Amino acid sequence: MKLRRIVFILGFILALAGVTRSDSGTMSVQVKEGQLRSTPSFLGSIVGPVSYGERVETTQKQGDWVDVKTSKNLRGWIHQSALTSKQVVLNPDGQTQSAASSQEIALAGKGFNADVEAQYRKNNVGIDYTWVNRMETIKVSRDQMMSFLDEGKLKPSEGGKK
Amino acid sequence: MRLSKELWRDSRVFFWALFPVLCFCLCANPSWAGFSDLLNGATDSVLPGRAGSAIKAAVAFGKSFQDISPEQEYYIGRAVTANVVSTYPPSQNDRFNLYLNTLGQTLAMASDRPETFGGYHFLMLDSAEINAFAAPGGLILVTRGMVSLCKTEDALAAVLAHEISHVQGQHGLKSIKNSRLTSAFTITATEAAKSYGPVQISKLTEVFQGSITDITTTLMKSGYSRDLEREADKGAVTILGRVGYDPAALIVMLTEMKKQLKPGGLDFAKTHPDPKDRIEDIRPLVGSGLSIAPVSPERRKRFEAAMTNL
Repeated sequence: MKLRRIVFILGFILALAGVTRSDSGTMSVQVKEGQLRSTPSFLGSIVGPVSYGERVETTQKQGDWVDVKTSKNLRGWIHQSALTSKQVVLNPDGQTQSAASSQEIALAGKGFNADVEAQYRKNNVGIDYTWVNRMETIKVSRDQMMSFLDEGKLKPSEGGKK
Repeated sequence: MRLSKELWRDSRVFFWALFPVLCFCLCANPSWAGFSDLLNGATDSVLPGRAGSAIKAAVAFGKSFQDISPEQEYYIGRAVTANVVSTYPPSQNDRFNLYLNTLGQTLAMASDRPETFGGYHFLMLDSAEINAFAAPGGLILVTRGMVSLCKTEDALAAVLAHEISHVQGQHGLKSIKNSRLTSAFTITATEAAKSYGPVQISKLTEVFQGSITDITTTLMKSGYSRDLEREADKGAVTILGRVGYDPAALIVMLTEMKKQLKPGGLDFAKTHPDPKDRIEDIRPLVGSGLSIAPVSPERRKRFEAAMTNL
């Protein structure tokens, strides 16, 4: 009976160790422009940028935030919605030979892409993209957000949890 | 014999000790996502040697909107937005649009999906109609009529938080017909390893065009189901609370809309459930909505400044 209990506990510890270790791995940035932060929060100061397809080493996780390190040795926190476990291949022409399968890779530009948009615009000349492009230029910096929160006497919960 | 029985029993104990943790690993850990895809039948290999099975695999893979990548969602959202602004002219009020983006982008950061491929961007439409639209990927449009209904920054935050929740839940993508997705995934699987030729671009554009029609029809004519609206209201309450706004502002806003919307009207009334029903759905989450917290003088001042000469 005692032996069974020991075996059970040992098995559980080994399995848990596996879970902890699996937090470290490699992921890819799946957004056009990402930012690494000093703390696991959008209120954390910006350590540096990461770009679409960039591979990052993950070291630990806290809530929805992942602590990562880039190949340029930049280290910081990024929200998990900016990452994918797949390898993003930016130039599919030359690189698919080495990729194993699409469970592991995501081909940038696969499916609906800039070429499809160009063709769609050609087919629909009445659809105007001017304001879409203009909207995308309106970017609010972290400092502007901080001032906005302070000025409005807004106190995000858990230091801006997400 | 006795020893081997014990070994067998102990190995079973060992297995059951490991089993729940292994299940957790497979289901919850992102680094195992590839394996869980495999379990779900997602097998669209792109290795040249396996190209023969690509079509069959693509059909299995292209089963839902969730298989649309953030990059594809971005192009869908751009086209949906282009369609909406071609119907409703955008406001040229740069001062207000900057205020709207500062508020909206701050709220988006507190959502469960703060990062999309191209980020969240907001624009006011120069229309007296009471309406708001969330295009996939985070492009959010709100009419002057809707903005004018807001009496406080908290109320405007409630409107934007509701739209952000539609983006977070990918509700727009859910309105794309499954048959279109299957077509798109079939085309892309066969041509995944190289750039698309004119025929593939033409086929994909056809599917793209249909998908945009599905979404714009939902946004501008038929509306989402009450379940998705409830989900967006629930998400809005969470976002408002996280940033520090009063979630009861959503009830205040819905009460105002109830007063202003004409039953059978062509705008928000046509595409959304009755505000009274929505209030009933979210009241348990935010309380009565009658004891709304006072807004700080600074917040009131900047809101009134932004609303001048709207």
